[in-house]
Amino acid sequence: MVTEPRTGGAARCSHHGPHPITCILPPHMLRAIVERGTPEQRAWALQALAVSERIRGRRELLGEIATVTATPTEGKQRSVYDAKNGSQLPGTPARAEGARPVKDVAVNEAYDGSGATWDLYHDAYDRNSIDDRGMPLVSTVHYRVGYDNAFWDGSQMVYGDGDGKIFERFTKCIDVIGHELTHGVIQYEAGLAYADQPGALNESFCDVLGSLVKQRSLGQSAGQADWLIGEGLFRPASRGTAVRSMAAPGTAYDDPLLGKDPQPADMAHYVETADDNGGVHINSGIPNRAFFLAATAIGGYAWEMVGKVWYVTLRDRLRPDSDFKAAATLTVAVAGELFGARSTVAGAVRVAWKKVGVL
Amino acid sequence: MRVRLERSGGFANIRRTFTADAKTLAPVQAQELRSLVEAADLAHFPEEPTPRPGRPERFYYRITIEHEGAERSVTVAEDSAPEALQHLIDWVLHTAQG
Repeated sequence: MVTEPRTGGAARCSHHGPHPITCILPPHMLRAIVERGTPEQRAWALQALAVSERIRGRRELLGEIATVTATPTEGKQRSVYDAKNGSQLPGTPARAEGARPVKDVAVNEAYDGSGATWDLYHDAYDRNSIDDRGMPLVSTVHYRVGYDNAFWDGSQMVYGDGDGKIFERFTKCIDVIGHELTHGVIQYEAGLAYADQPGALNESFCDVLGSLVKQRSLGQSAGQADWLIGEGLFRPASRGTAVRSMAAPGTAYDDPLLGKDPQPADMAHYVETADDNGGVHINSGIPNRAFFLAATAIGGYAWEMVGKVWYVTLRDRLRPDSDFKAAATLTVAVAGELFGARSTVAGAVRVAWKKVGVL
Repeated sequence: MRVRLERSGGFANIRRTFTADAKTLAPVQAQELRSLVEAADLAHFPEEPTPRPGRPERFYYRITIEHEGAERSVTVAEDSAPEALQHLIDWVLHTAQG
């Protein structure tokens, strides 16, 4: 095991909206102060959180502070809510931890998918939920009407039903659920800024961990996995198998309405753009493919070795401004520490980054 | 009056454009559109660039109003759209998607 000091979640001001208060001190940072500060700092941070959440029209986070201030909890604590096509979060309780499945398939998918994600992090990487302190996993389904998206809002997951013409419901794909929860893990660990190369790494780590959640839930080896992100998210009428392909970035879809998958497979085709926060969902294809190449070269269950290298790098080494080269150098170093500098794993990781043109 | 809504970003990062044109809408709907545009008050909305870094997976909306030969565009992240503008966005999405 690597015994690097944990980076924690304190000194960064990153991806929180235009509001001055939330920009200066994002909620996760305030929560860190609530958790670790002196009594005086805690009182101040609690008040600031209450104010910023009120401004954002949400009061639910105050409930969550109780869990942050309490001692770490053990075991999964899932709750799924129904927004009933509105935009108020979290919405109406639909299923709590331990409760039997309900009739609503989206509720059950959010419940099961967040459980599978919690299991991967816990069983393979010894992590106690998103914040490693047993944070409850809150999901809201049926957000807005025909909403073509899913996101992590800084404290919970939110899923739309899709428009029913192009997109299916976003809970349908377990890797999408693992992806969204990993945005939460990144918020508490590396804090990768959501722009340009750090942003593309942020997206890529979410795809990697999301894919590993899917592979583990299906018991697939690296050779058996489809390495697709959001397979089945497009309605059958669309000419696309998935939203992204980690094995062959740029080939996931090609459709008159959707356009063509814009992901590059290597640095020679890196896309410079101001759109998409500097191409965070585009250039993520490059580190995605590096992971795929390393995992398939090593073989076996991808979450066990190369997945661990990626996770430990995310937890202990990456910083908010880390770029592709830093991720490559650090994953090679971590692979060496975990498995030996001359190990198959370390060699495969180095070769993979070379193949995509980062090293 | 014509309203063009370009949506980008999101988990899938697929760009889509939705249009509502008062000329082809039923009179009642055309009136609704005009009221919503008026309420959104884009003339006084800052056309500032989107703040970065952004937030994971959120949509961006670029709204362009064409009216009497003039054109006005603003870009907002979905979680920073004022309520009146959000109503206009929702209405165009709903109307254009049927």
